[in-house]
Amino acid sequence: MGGYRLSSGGSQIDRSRRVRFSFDGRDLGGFAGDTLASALLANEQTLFGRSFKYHRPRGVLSAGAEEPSALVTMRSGARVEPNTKATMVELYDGLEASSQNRWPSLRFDVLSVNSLFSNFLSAGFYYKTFMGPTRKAWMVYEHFIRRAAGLGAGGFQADPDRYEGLHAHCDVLVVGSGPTGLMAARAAAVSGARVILAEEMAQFGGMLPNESETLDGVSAGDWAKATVAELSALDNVTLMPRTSVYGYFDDNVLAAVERVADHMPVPPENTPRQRHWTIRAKQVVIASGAIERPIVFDGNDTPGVMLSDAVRSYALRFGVAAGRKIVVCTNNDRAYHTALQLADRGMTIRAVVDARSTPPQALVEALAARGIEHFPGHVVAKAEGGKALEGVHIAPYDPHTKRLKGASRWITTDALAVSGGWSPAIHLASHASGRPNFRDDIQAFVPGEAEQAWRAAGACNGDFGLAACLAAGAEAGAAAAGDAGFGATALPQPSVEGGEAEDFAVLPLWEVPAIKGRGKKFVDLQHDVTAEDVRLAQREGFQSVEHLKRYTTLGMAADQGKTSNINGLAIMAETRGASIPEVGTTRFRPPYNPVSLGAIAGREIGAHFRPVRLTPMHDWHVAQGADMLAAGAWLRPRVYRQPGESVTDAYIRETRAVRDSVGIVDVSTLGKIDVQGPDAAEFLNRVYSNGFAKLPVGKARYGLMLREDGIVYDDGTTWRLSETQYLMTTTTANAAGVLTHLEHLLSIVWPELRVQVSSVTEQWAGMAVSGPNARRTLEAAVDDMDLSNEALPFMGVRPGHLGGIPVLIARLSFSGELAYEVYTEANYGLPVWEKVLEAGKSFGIIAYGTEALGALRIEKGHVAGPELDGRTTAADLGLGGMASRKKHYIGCMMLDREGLTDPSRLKLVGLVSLSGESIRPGSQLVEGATMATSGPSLGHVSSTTYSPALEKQVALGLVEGGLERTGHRLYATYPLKGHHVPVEVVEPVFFDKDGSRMHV
Amino acid sequence: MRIYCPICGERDSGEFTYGGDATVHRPAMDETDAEAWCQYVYNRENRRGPMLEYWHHTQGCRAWLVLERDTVTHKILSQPRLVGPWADEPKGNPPIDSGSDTGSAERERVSEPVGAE
Amino acid sequence: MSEMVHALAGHAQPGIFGNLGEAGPAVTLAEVRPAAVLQVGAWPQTRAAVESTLTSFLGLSVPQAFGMSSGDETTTVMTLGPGRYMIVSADAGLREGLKEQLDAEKAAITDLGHARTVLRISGPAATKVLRKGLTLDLDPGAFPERAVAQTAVHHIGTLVHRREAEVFDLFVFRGFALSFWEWLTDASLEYGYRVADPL
Repeated sequence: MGGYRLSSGGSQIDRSRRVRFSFDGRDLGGFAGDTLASALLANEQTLFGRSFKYHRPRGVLSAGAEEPSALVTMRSGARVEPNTKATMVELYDGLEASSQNRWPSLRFDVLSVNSLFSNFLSAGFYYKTFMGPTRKAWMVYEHFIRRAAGLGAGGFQADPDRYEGLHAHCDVLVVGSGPTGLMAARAAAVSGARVILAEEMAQFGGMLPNESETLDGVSAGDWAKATVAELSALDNVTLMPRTSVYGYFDDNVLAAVERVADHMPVPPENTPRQRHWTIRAKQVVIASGAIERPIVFDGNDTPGVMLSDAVRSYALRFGVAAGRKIVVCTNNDRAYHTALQLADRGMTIRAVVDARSTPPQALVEALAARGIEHFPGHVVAKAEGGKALEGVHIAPYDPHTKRLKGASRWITTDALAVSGGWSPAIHLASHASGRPNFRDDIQAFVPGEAEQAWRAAGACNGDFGLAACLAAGAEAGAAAAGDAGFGATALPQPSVEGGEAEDFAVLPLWEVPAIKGRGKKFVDLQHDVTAEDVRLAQREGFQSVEHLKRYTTLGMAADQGKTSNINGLAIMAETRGASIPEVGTTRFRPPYNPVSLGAIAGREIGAHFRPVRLTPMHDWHVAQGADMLAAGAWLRPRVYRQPGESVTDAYIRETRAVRDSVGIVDVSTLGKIDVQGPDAAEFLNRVYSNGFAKLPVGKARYGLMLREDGIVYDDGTTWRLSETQYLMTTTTANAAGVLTHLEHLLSIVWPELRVQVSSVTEQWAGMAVSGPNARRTLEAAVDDMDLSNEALPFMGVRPGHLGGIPVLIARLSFSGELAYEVYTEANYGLPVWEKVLEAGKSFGIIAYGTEALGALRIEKGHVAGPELDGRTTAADLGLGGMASRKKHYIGCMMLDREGLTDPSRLKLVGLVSLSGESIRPGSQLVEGATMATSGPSLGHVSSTTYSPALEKQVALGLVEGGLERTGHRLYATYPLKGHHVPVEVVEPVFFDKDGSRMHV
Repeated sequence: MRIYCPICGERDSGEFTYGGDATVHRPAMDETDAEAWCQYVYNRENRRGPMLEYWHHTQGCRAWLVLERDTVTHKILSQPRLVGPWADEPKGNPPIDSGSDTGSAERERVSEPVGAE
Repeated sequence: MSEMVHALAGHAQPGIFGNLGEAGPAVTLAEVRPAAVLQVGAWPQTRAAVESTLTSFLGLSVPQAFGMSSGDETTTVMTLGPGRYMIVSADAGLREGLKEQLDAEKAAITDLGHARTVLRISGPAATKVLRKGLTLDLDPGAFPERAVAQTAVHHIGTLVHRREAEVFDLFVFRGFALSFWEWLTDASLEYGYRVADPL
């Protein structure tokens, strides 16, 4: 037995377009417009999967996004996607799907044996069972439990599809396109507001195709279609079907995912599979509808037990009968109308079982007229069937004692349509509101007080009747448009004829007692959480709703408890003897539906995970085969390896070449800040620790910048270009930070200073030309400049031309050699670079990278990033003389604190390896000769290199007592890699100690 | 979170960088009391609720703003204002269609910020 | 100087790419190479004088509103904030001329001509492409023609100038130009794009 396709009907399917698909390898057929669930039901499929813990057979419960059971794995290979709700999959030709969590097959699943151990697998079992006999035993159990756990399996290949992120702005966002949402969108649009109407499903209209009313003389379904057509013709309305608004964030920013191509075999070229939308709406109307509740009874997870509105949907929208002998069980009027609608379409309704003893007479008579048996005051106490429903036991029920009161009777049935009432879908509203409010009349929670600019209307606000929804939607849309600044025009309501009773009152019925024993009554179908688990949680002290959730995992699965949360907390309330509002709901958080990581990542993947920043000479470095290294966002050449060279070989060669003759290095990445204004000199004087007020025009000076706490922040050179204009350079890493620091000082601390600062890092290409032949090289390159020692002395700055291109040349040295920094406007960077190389050819000029740059400066003891690590003062680095005593500057007032002047502070030293082993940066400096006897750390190694000049492995480091330890032996220890290198403490300069090479 | 920049209009918070407690002022340059400097450099009240804050529009106009924000709800409670040399300047007028504005020394002080809804 | 090597040299190959509808590519991309890009900063005391000097020197009225521009075929002046202006021009001599007009007491002039790469995106899908990276409200009511905004696209600082309804100039740091170009062209594939020669 099971479902079957009706010979006619189905407002959503197109019977003229057949679609072929496969499920678990079986080839099946459906129609365009089917979902995978409707097509499988039509093919008499009752079994859709196996449950999470107990591997119980499961069917499909619903027809929408709240589906807990019918989870399938879609597609295969690189596009495989597990845990997809079959109710949300739009059928397409060639669709492949498979069931999950079963082996070897869906029908014969070996792990269904878990059911036998269910007593040991109840809520929180891993805290209680599987304890011992030893502590390590868990690691053995865990291996098997992990294999058995989970539902679908993901893929391991890279996702070949595109995903994109986009931004949208509107005046009114309407979430949901049922009668409420459609009216809200119309009302807002009519006022001229920019409207976005987002609908989770592919079709607009919500429940309208299921309703029997006529609106303005046409069927509810046709009215929906006409309204959508009218909206799509308006310029100020954007319709977004297949778009789930999954989160409501601060300041009316919402996030949504649009399923652009999930309903196609593969996405069209250059088109994303999904789009992630960040929507900034001035006002939001939430019209997200309500979700039907199941009833909790013994065997309620049997395939064939479904929600009654779903059974109605399958019949009316898809032309599929859920079974051949349907029974309806309910606590409200609406399920009667479902029974009548189905009977009138030729389906066999065996009985209507109503927990209420006196339902409305009109409904009783309508059933009788169709020969449908009626059992008022009865409930379904047990469903039986294993892999497919075979029948139900019904029994008389006393709602006051909440007990069965009499013998049960058997009804043979293959489809049970259950209606326990409706829960407004308050999730999105709850992301942006206070606690939800409980309404006794509908036994449901409605949205709490809004904390953002939204209003809820329709079923999600507790108004379930069609006329009420239409009115509420119109009112909400107009009010939202009004609050967004658009005058509201009254919208005529459609006339509503016919239809069903407007009374949605329910008899509270959350759980039915078992006939015998405790029964197996499921609350959360996806996580296999039973009513007994809820009671167990309460007995063990986990009785708050937040503890209930985490202890039992109720509501934590991919369906996030959409059909189980309320039943669970109602059972907890009953168990505690508290009211439902007293127990309350857990806090709803985004995402409302699962969101793929692809949608969140968009195009910021692979090489575009972060933006990449290139210097003007980048293409040249790459063409030369340089190893490029990331320095923040920048790419810099590390070394230019010759064939057969290692990185070490290369940097040693480059370093030697600079010391022997001449080399050129790209220093464009240094931060460069334009500092201008009448008070610029005074400003620089307050920002640097050493004096800048008297720097002459045409000179540069090395400057040390401290933090307010007296610790060194950054260093660089600042060049005075005119009376009121300076070019400040910073380290690459701190460029952005220093600019912000300066802007902060000028805006907040000293707004009276007339100074402006701007980043000009990108305006200038910079290259350092260093070595004994640097002057000769540049003399051959420049057009009109006198580069003699007299004309351009050390630290001088001169403008000029090189190969016809304007340049600024500063005589600065980081390497300790005779050196010049040649700056030119960025688009001239490469031509100037090439001209210098040409000019240096006869001197054997080479390009060098950051490794050689480092080796050169370490040999000279010039501090850089690793020494300026946020813990060192100027005095620690041997630069105490740069901390002026004659002026006020940032950091000056904190310098004399005991902590910063303590003699035991770590101070800069040089280190030479005594064993020839290289020294690892980050090594700790100790006295003990072996790792085991190392003793306490006395300091650490900050920068290391092989020194071609000394032909030794050397390093800079910081050690207690600093140069008092000169000549001492210490050990540079790195236990993680097993290094323990003997070193001698020396002065922190290894080469050219008097610095004369720079001054020739 | 969205932050209103008086120069650029309302923008996503990602364009801004938090700039610290705006009730804290750097001592005068001639202040010699070490306690005052320690207080400025190290001590901050960890306020729960409304707090006056600096924000820096780093990925926009780079202006510094001061605003009051609730540290629990993230709600911005005051109209953000510019800090710095331009704090008291009249704002620009709202955008008009014609391009023929001329600067006048006697500009009317606009009390509504540009772009206010 | 013909020797200049721009950031996208060798990278922005002319051609037509992506999904072409019946009407061909819906987006055109071209690098703009202004001869001058200058930032001018006044101080509160000098703002009025600076605006008046700019107005008479450029023959354009400097907008009062922040985030607006005015311009002719050669030159555009943008008001970025109080006392802060950006001038973009095909006139290479503007820099020197402006320095003569505004001394250091009146204003700070910063040359950014090489610091920015300017990309023009135009065509019926221009706004749709920009929505993939700009968090601004691009509705003509919120961001009209001649409006200017300083913002960021995926962490790359970007100045956006709307010249016409579907014509935008995007100013990005030169160092990020290639990364930005790769994003822009990738985002345009869906609509089909044509790369035109630099302007």
